[in-house]
Amino acid sequence: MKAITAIVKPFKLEDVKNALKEAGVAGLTVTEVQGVGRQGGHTETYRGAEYQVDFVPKLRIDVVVGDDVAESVVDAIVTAAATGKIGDGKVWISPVEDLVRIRTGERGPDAV
Amino acid sequence: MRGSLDFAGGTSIHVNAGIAALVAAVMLGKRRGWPGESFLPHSMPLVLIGTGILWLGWFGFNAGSAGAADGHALVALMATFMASSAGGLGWVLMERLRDGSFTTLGAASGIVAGLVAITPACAYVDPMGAIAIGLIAGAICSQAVSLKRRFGYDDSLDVVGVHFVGGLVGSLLIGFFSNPGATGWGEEVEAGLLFGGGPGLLVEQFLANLATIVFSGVMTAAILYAISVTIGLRVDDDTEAEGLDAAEHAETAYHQAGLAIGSRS
Repeated sequence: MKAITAIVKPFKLEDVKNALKEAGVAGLTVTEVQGVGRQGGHTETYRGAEYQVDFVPKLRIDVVVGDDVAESVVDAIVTAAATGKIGDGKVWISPVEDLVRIRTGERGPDAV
Repeated sequence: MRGSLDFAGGTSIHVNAGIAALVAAVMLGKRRGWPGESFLPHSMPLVLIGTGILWLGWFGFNAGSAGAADGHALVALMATFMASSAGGLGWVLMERLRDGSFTTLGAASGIVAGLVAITPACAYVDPMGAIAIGLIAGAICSQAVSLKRRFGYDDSLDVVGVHFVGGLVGSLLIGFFSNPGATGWGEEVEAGLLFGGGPGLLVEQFLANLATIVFSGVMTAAILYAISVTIGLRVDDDTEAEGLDAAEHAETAYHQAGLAIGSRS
């Protein structure tokens, strides 16, 4: 099993969600996050005082999938989230040791 | 001068603004993602606070159109309260029949629909007439807000469904509910169909609204066309995706736990 974590532009959520659904991923978790990367921040102005805002709002999408489909799921996310402009985000894959479905107590790949 | 009635601006404000909004919504186009993505109201408490402020202000607007603290102002004040309450009721009853549940947003929208509908009629109808107008407007507007999905124009505040349709309904219903005997107008004002008048008043109301729709629709289209070829009507796609707070105003509405502020420069 692999855990796939994607950091994407917020307005791409709908596209990524649909792509994951098509790729057969049954569930996902979304978190509002803020981060800094090559994109850099921007300047905001409040009553004349300028603030350098370094952290840019992004969405973090977490899914756990079987080893066999991990690559195709990553491809689906990358295709759906890409705009070609700086700040499109990242996707990373990590191994998952075990997984439990709380309702039934199933473990491992059966619980995906 | 023709004899149509419009006490506080149902035709001249709401039908006028409503048709202008429809023309603008069509010419400006849809928001990106509409209607596929969800556009949910982001804060119900703010909706209710806004409705409350609007409701209070509307009493001054309608009763104040009498120009004096006289009997007409009193009739307008009472009618405004009756119609707005009935409007909220009409909307949620329709929702209950159609969707199975009463909603807060529906009650707030219905109150506004009732306020809009009674605006042209407020000094010409008795309290029972005001309740009837509010109920009818609330029920009709709750149906009219779905027109945008059927015809594919994006109206984010439902100005067409609430203000255009509500204003039109209220204005036309004067032709039925105008009651000069009970509201102290005597011979000055023509009675509606339900109070011994002929169809003349209803015809006048219809013509006044038709003229407003044609004039305002054409003028709005002309103004928007002039803006689109000079300044431009829409921001570009990237700006819209990023949000106008950042692109046009250099500020953020909601900061997450102070994280967003980097350092003062």
